[in-house]
Amino acid sequence: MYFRGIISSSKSYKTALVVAIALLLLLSSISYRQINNMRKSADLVSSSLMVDKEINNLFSKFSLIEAFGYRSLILNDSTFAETYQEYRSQTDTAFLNLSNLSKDIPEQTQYLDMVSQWRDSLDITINNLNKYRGQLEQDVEGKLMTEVEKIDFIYQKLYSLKLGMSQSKQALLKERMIAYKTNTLFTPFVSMLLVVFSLIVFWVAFRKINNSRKKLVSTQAFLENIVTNSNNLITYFRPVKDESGKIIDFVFEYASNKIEDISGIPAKQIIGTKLSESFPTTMTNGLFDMYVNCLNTGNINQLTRHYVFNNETVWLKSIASKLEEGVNVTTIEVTQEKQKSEDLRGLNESLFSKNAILNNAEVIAKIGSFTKYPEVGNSEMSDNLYRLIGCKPGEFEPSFENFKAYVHPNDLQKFEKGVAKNLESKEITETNYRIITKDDKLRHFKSTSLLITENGKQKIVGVVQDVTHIIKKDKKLELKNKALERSNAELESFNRVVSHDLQEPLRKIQMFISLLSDTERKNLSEKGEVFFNKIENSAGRMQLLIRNLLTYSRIDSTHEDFQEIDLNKKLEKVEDNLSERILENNIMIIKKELPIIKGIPFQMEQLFNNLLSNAIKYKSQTEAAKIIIDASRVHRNEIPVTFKKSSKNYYKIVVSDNGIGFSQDNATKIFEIFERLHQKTEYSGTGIGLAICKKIVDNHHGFIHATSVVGKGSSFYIYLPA
Amino acid sequence: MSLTNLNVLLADDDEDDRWLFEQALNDLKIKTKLLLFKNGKELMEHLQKANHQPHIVFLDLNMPIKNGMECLIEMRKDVNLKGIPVAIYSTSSSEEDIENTFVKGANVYINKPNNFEALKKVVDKVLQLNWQYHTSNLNRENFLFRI
Repeated sequence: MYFRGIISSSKSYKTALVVAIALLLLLSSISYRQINNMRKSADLVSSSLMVDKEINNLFSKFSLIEAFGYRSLILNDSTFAETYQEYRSQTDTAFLNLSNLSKDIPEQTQYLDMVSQWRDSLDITINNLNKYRGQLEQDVEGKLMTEVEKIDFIYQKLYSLKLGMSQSKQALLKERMIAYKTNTLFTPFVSMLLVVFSLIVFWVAFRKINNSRKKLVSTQAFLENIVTNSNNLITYFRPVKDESGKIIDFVFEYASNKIEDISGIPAKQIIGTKLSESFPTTMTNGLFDMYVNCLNTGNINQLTRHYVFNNETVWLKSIASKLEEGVNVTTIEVTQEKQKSEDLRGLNESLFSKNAILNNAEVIAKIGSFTKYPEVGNSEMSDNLYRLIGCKPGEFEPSFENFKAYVHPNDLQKFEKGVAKNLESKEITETNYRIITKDDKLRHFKSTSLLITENGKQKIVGVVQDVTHIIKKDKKLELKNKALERSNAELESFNRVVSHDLQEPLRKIQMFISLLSDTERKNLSEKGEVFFNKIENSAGRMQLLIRNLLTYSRIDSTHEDFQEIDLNKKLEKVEDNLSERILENNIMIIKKELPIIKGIPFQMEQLFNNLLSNAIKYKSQTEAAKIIIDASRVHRNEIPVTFKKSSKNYYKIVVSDNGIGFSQDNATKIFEIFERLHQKTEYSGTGIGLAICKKIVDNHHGFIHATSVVGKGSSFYIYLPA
Repeated sequence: MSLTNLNVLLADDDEDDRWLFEQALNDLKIKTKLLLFKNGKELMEHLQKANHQPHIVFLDLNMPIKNGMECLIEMRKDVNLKGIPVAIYSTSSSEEDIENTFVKGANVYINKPNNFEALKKVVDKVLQLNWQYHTSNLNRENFLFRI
């Protein structure tokens, strides 16, 4: 805006200057003329006054001459002639002066001529008078008298002339005085006008100049600001020419401060130096040639090249334009842009490779993808989606209508419903349907799609998966599940059979054995007694076996309804149940405070029951039997045995006895089902008890193991998650 | 209690068990009047029309036509019968059976013993139970009756 103001004003300034000068000249000339006029009128007035003086002078001479004439007549003075001659010459001077003064005034000249004539007459008369006076004759008297009368007459004429002259002069003077007054009135006014006008012109000019100066200053500041704050480097070069006029170098005339940011050298140091000295590379990297070209052709040229400043590569783009005799260059740092474009290229490459990976992944995973723009109506289908339906990529126009042609006719409704649902809801929609591929194969597809809004445009993005193999597997799994369910049910009914139907007759056998024993035993022979005992024992063993087996089968891992169990209470209950045998065998039980754990109550009870039963059963035959139950909390790293430790901390419960013990070699064997270390006859047992214990602890995500020394006792270690 | 006979009902499909139960009851000092039923249906029919409510009902679980669990549920739904103490008398020692009968309102659970002395002992103990006390303190722990 500033520029325009300044440029447009230069023309108007010139006009204003011309007008002002013309006006000043006009006024000056008017003033000059006025002053001149005044001077002239003043001269005229003074000359009029001089005329007056000279007239008086002249006529005073005449008066003197008259007076002397009369005197000489009376006194008969002969010197009169001489005196007259003297006065006569004086009148000549006055006359000359007067005629000089009044040569411009015709009236006066006329008067003067007449005066001159009368003076000549006076001359004659006086001469005559002087001539007659010496003669002393009679007629002289008369002649004298005539002459005196003549003189009188001349004098009268002269006086009347004097009067006329005076009057004429007075009138002229008056007129001149008026002119003079007018001039004296106008001249200062005109002069004043000139001064005032000059002042106005001066003031206007000053105002204008000052305003322009201010504008110029602010414009300069504005430009300076632009140059300083601009991210661009602005330089101005003056060419250096050799003798033949060829440009051989450039000198920095100006460089903005930005040059320090780019090159690290302050602008002050650069200004005045040669381009070839400060930046030698520019002589070869095309920049110098560009400047030369720019200067020679006047075209605007640009060049992007890189430099290395402080071990960093800097990309610069320079735009050069000719300005007067030099080159004005705007340089922009484009390192970031260059970097970005490099990055973009890299990104594009990686995107390309990722796309390739995705395409491969689609093939491998039997997945296709699509995008549908419901507002526009067009769709995109991935290459593999074509392949999935047995077509070549791009074989048909990607659209839902075209894709629908491959959907199983019975599933069309389902498919369309899925599409419609997709448009309504903002959630992921899944649709399962069948496809008849181009080569007439039946495939199961699953579409997962979502309606999204991107940049205000709606689009459905989806993944189509060939789930045929999954469906087949599912079907197999389903069959297997059913088989499993059946076998589970069978197992359940087997359990039932064992627990009830098998036990029922056995119980009855035992019942009648007991009745028989109570009532008929005494009637049996010795042999019969032995047989009877064997029957009784076998029945008892069978019952125990069945019961243990039942317990074992009942402890399945499907129990997940863990409850909080105070193990102390469970132990008490077990002790209570076993109280008879404990008392009978005189067992000492030493126990520590047990933790509260999460588990299945009856299983925990069973665990303690089995362990305590074993300890009682295999008690020492020589020493007083002792059972020690210890409990502590340990970190999993402190557990020396290896098992799958899912918890950080474990409760370690140790049940140890001073019983008969077993060989450490059998330490793992004892937990296997139906494993027995002793003869049936030696110790009653089914070989299931510890297997049950292991199963229970396993169920509780814990671990059980045992250490033992034959004859010294055994320790059972149980780890349960804390 | 000794003045009047204790009215005891037993529903069990097994003839031997009925006989054994009867024998055991007869051997006890306590005077009882026992009525035996072959299945749950018979028991329920009797209960519906009986003038006098029994003191206690022993219920076998596994019975034809109407099993013990069905009888228990029916009794506990019936306003007139819901107060009668019920002792489950079964061979089954399965947790499931014990739990279910407890939930449905049985008062005591007896595993059929496998010797006659034990049978006598358990029946005697059950008959001499202070029902009011036992019922008010009934919990999962003392539900299963042990000798």
